[in-house]
Amino acid sequence: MDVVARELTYHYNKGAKFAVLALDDVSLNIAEGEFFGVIGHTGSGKSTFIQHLNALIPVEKGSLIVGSYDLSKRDKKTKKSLPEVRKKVGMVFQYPEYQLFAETVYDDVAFGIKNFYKSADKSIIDQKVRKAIETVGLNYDEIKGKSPFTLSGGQKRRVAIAGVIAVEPEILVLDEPCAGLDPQGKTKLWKLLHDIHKTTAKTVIIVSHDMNDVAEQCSKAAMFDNGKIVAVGTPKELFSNVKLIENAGLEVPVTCYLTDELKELVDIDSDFKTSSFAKAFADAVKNR
Amino acid sequence: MIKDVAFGQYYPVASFVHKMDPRAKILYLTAYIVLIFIVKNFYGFAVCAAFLALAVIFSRVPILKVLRSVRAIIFIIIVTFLINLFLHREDQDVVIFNWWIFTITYGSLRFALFMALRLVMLILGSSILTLTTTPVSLTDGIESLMSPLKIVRFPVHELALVMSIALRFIPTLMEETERIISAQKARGADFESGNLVSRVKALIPILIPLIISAFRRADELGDAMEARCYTGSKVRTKYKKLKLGVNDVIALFFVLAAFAGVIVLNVYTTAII
Amino acid sequence: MLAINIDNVSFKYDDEKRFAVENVSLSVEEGEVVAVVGANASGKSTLAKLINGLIAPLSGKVEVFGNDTSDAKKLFDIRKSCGIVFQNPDNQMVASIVEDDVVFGPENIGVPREEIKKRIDFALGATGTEAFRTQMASRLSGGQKQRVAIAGVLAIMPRILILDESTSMLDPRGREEVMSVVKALNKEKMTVIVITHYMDEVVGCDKVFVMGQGRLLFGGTPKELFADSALIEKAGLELPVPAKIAVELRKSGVDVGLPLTKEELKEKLWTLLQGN
Repeated sequence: MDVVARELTYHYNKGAKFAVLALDDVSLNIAEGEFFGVIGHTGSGKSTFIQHLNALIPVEKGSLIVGSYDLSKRDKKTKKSLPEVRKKVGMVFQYPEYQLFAETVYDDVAFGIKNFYKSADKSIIDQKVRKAIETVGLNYDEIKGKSPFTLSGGQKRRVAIAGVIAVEPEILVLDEPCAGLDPQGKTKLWKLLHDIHKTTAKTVIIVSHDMNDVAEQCSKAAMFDNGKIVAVGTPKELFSNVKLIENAGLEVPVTCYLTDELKELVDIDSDFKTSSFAKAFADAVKNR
Repeated sequence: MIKDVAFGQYYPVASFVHKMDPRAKILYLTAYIVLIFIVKNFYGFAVCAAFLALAVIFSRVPILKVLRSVRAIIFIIIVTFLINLFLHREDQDVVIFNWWIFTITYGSLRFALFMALRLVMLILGSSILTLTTTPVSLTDGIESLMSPLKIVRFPVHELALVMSIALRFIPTLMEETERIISAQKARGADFESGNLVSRVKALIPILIPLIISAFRRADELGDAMEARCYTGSKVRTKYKKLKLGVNDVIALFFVLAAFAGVIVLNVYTTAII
Repeated sequence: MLAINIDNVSFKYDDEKRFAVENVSLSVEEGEVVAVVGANASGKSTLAKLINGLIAPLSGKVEVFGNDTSDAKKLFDIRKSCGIVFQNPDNQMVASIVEDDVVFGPENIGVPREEIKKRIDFALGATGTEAFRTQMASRLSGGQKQRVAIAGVLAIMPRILILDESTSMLDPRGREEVMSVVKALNKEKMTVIVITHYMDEVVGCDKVFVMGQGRLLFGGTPKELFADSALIEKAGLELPVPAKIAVELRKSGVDVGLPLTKEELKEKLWTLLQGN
């Protein structure tokens, strides 16, 4: 499923005096298979954009096609296909553990499955719940009967993510999945997201503030500023323009800062991952 | 997340009404409410409406913002209107419409309109108070007006603080509710179809996280307040002193004028109730 | 002068089996900036609450400028001298309007009216939030809200400021706003304790304490901490990004030591290239 947005525009409080232009003429393609970063500072429009992807926010102007679904249409047929769209585009909100509600981990993870697969029988639900819980690295038999509220912070977040991937979405969207986690929790979560990308969801779209993470993890990214997209590309393309990143109010990845600062002395050609930067630097030193 | 939350949110501009003493505003609102309850016909409402219009103009709050407050109770207004429309009976009445058990008469229509108007005027007046007064000064005003109760050991200050905190958390919890609704919708929750039972059941995934979050927030707020030396003790001082000003005196004249107008009209025109 | 002295302190929450803090001893000098790091639930936040006297130790002693937090008579003085800014800015404001919120602390400790005005001016000034004085806090950005929260604590005129993961919900811009306020306050002799998950916030501190499962695993300078890779692993921490790059460089045969800031790393690489 590809995502194709054309001239997408959206206002909050449209018509009111305090109408806010949240998306301004946004055109963007996200091809199936990407591990895609959506970056920009708070209020740049990135969260508004991702909420369009499963029709939580309706298209106001422009067009948005997700797979075979045209979300800009407002006819009955499109409305009827909404549950299907939401099934195929899973959305993990910021601090997803705050949306847990059920008495047991099992029930919480099964919530989405029961909503989307209305006719599924118990054994199929069991199987899907088990698979999701195991995918996020938790022990199914140990945890399924526990109340989600007794778990640790990191476990809660994993359960919440399990609840979304249990539906087996083709596109998985996550808003700041690492917010508030400790360093090791963060490292583990990135690994988990790559695992999910390999096994469950074909496309993973991640909103992140941390440019070092985006440079390290994503295959491609789009940079939002003031409701507009100011750049799209691989980290290598995106971060080679230091000025652009600074103007968008973002921090420059350290590798990219070093490449820029040292460019008078040496040309370091890397994709800004720490390991490839180090190799490129070492090579450049040898070749001088 | 920028979200205009509905009824009663403080509208920050500097205006004649904003600068008034909250105690005066509360008292005048009370007077205004008395007024709309003693009004006997539509002429009286015209006087009230004129008073209200002046208040809106001098508050510099956009009229649409004020009117929006009606939306919050539109359901109640409609229900009251319909009940009165079909059930109110007067002597020697002219029937306008009659079908099965539903009968509308000239009198019931007039009465239903009258009562609906009264509700609308009530909510509009109250919303001017909350739109022009910050929650803190509102509670300061209430605290000050209720201070005589301290003699009988009524916890006036605590009550005022609780109110102020409740008001402070309305936008936060509204935002949270919206976020939870979106998240559960994304997980396929359906709030729009099904019968009553399944709709009520559909609310559980919203209510539980909301309640848990409210408790968590309360817990954290408690710690934060304690860390900021809140003990509820008597050493507490008050930064903002309430002082009656020229504005309050001028406004008093309008209140008195409205009263005079309504009383005169009540005496010299025919009552419809 | 010792600002904080924690002597062999243990604490357990009623509903939990495990000690949240166990046999911890540490001290902080006045005017220092100290970081406390460790995995989630390692006892960092409990430590903050112990210092401010929100909770009393089960055993051992916590002293703030010589006042014992177990002494109920001293508690008010301790809270006055030691302010905490918490994680979620939304959950520490009592009033909707910025100024009304900042006033809360001074009112609580009975500051006279004329003096309160001065304190508001000072607190808003020190955090760069004067412009929001009469605004609704709910309309501010995360970083702005958190600066207002700091102002609310500063108005009590504490000598110690504890940031309990105060930047964890902010974006990089908000984090920078908050950290630069903190740096400026420290220049004015404020003792600061930063509880954080961000390693780059640790780098500039005078001292760092590492907590793990309620115990103190390490106390020393950031340089010493990050040089100890076994400890970093054990405590669930990570190196700051520049140091990670330096490690990768070493793997590729370029040794630049272990610089902790990007500027330091740049200097090292620059010198290396010029000497080449």
